[in-house]
Amino acid sequence: MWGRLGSMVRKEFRQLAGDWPILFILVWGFSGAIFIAGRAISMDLNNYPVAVLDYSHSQESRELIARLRPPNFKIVSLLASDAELLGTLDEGGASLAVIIPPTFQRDVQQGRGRFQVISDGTQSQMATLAGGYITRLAGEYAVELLERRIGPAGRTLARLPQVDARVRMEYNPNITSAWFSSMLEMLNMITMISMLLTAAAMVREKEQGTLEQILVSPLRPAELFAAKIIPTVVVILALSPLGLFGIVQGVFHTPLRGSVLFFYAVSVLYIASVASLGLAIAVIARNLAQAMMMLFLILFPMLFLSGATTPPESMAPWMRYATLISPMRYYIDFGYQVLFKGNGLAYVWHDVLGIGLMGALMFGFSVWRFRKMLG
Amino acid sequence: MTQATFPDAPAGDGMRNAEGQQLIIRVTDLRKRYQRGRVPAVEGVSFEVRKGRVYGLIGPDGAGKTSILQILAGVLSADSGAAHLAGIDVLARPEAVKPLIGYMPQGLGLNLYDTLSVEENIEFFRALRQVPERRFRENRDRLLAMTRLAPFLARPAGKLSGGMRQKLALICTLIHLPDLLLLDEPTTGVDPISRRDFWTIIQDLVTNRGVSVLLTTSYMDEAERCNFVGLMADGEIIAAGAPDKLIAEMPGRLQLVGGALPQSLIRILEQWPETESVALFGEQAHLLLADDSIDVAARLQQAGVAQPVVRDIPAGLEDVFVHHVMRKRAAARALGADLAGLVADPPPMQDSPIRTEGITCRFGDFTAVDAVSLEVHPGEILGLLGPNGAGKTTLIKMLCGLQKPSAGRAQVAGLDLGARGARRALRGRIGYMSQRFSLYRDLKVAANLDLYAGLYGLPAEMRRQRIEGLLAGLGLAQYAERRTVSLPLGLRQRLALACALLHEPRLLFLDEPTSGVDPVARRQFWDWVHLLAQEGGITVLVSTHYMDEAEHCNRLGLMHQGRLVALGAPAELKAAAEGQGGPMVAVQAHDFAEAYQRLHARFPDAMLYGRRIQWQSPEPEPDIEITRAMLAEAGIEARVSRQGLTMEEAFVHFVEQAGNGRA
Repeated sequence: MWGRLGSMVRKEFRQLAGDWPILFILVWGFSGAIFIAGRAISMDLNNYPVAVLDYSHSQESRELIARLRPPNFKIVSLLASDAELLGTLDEGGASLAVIIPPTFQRDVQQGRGRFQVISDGTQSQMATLAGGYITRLAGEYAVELLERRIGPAGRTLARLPQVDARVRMEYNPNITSAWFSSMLEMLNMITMISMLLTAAAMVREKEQGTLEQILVSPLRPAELFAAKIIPTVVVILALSPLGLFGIVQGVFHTPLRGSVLFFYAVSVLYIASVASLGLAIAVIARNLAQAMMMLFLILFPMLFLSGATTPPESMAPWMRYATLISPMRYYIDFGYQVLFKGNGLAYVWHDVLGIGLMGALMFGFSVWRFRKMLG
Repeated sequence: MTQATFPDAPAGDGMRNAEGQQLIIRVTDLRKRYQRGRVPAVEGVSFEVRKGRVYGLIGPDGAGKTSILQILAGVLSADSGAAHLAGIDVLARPEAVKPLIGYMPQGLGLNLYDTLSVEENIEFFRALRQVPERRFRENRDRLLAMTRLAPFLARPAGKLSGGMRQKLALICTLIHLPDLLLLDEPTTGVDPISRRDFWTIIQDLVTNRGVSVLLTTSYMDEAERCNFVGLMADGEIIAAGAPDKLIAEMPGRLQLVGGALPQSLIRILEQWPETESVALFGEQAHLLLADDSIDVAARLQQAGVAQPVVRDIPAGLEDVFVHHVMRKRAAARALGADLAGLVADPPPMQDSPIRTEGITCRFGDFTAVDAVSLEVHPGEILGLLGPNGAGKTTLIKMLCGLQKPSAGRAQVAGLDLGARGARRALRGRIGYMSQRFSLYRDLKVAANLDLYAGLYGLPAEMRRQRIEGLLAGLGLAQYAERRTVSLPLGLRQRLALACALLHEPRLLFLDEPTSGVDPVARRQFWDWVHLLAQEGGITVLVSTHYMDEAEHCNRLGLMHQGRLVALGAPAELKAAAEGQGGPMVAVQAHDFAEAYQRLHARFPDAMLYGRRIQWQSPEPEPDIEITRAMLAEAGIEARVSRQGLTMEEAFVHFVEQAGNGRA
């Protein structure tokens, strides 16, 4: 058995070694792609474009406007009329409009100052974030006005009851989104490449007609599949440190708290598991185009159900159960726990179990389906 | 200027050859390379096609035929040279020729839409070409009648057989009544009955409407139906002329040689300096000598052959092709049959390596293989002959254990295929070469062999010896470190054979091993197969859609629509068909078009083969008399003779006899 498997694995590596486009994609996936994700995908509010329509022209309105400044906000236009304002939002010239009514000064003095904020809701996440920031700015301004009215703060305020929430960000003190997004992209790449590389290797045998030639040889289906999975595991193990140490840690200075060795040990299981999913698709698909289409149909729901962007706990109940079939859910949870938090097997054993079960299921399905296909 | 921009310039206007005959195509020093000049396809080709004639470009895959057709159809640009169709410069104004031509690309009905019905497909092409209604109706009904597709108007194109698809594709190509047809391998893999219909249409168009045809084919026997042929190899036309002239003008002498064991015979003949080519056909060899004054029999006796049998045989176009290719390549002829590397000691004879009883394979309601019973004897080469879709591949796959039979029994290499574990046990005992030589094209030659050596579990010390033996024996040693993709088809075919032989199987399955390969490589391949069978004691089951390859097999199974319609030695089959349906009556007339018109009216089966008219006749003697009288009366000078059947004609006979005349 080892001789046959060995020959097949050697062949896979030879094929890979001569395939420059694939090699390039592999290296890019674990370097450039992760770098771009870390830099470009940001959850921070940076220079959010604001349009201002000030009907008040008072000291109060100017003080309020002055607070809309970088790094969070950037005033891109000062408008004169409602019509102009809607036009600016429609064109996308600004994502947020602040309208200060003519009575603003009087209202503030009388303790009921109000202004309107219109936000472009198409980018919902950013809109929510911007709304939060504006509310905070308004609150701070109100406190400042209060202090001005009742004299220097300190003593007066100290006597009033208040609640102060002191937030300390564990694991990512400055909420640097690059840590999160580069790590997510790396886990993503491991998933995608495991699946694509394996499926492509298998479908190619079908397309070139070499599969039949292999099948009349004494090679067993399980050996054939193992020969497809092993090179994927080896290649990803060899290249992903480029992403983890070179980009995630090297460029973005993400602290790796846990055991990298443990992370890779479980990653081997995960890669084999997702590669089995790739095999299952390759067994069903008739050609590469069909396989790729199926892969992308599966890949995106898998990512959405992974809990990477929304934790499963915040999803609707049935969705929460659906996440259980996404192997990525276990892996991302595992990856974050081990690399960000430094947790060990005691905390992630259920993830490891999930990965293993999904893999066994997929491998079993592929072999079963393949045998059935042969009649 | 005004005339040059007029798209419907009358066909042939202004183009004439040296003899003043009207030309429809003139190509001068055409050149085309692919991949930024690295891959040559067409290397300075020049030829002319006369109006109202059928011109065939004959050659193997990769000879440049398709590129030429694509350039003429205006769908591919050329690097240099000139090409004119009916006086229009194709390279400068490709759009202007499109109304004049009907172009049918390679592949069975690739221009059709599978989900549309026959009628909808035809209607689509009418709308595309904007053919006027009345002209369309007449033309359509006529074509449907000739192709016998009328009963299938409502059937989706995807559910037609290969031959029917190809005929429908032809109708769609013809629907706008083009003056020139460009047909790229229109009959490759098509069953003989559809092929016959196909040629009937072509002849009708040529004789009745003056249409001109340029077609490509890799079938040498088909080339003889053309008025004029250009033999192509490696991007060049190596010989051109009327088929009968090319054959007549071939220097040297073709002889059939027998009387000794074929393997020893071929080794003696190869040694002679005058030998241009020698190829095994069953028990005998075909020998082409450059010098025709040599007494072959006397020489053979000197070489120790006790009772040599030598007789002159008529050459075919394939011999002409081989002759010209050998000249051009200065012949890397040596078979070098170093069989020590190829086969082990002859294994003990087995009792019937293959025996099937009513083996059947169904896919849904389609029966791919229909109750086939046959027995293959040890050391025999059994050929399965039939068109694409006849069930050859499915039958071979079942016998290799790649496809489960739906019914019937089969014993292969002493194993009952129905028994548990039999299919696994079978794998070490058989060699299989699948269609289109399934090799890892991105791997080196040696790496391909290395893989299979590993898969078959060859012990390490044996592995090197065996690989080297095969590389040397099949003349592949110098290519060991080349990537497979860079090899020509003929060498890939040899590599595939080597891979199938690595583990010294006693039973070899070859599925269309010579498809698309040039005649020289094909003959060499068959020599090896003969030697493997005769010296190695290997039993060979081989499938092919080349009718002319049938002669290489000891016995032949003719397959049509999943059924085995006949089984026997090639000569037996031809004799049986002749005994039942009569021989061929052949007419060679100078004014063949006129003769064909007259004879066709009297003998509806008469077909035109280039300049020859022939049909199968149950009563040859009276027919010959009638024909002579008819032609004499019309003042047509002609030679009328009785001829034996070719394998293709025998095939058609058996298919029709099997009550399966529809194609």
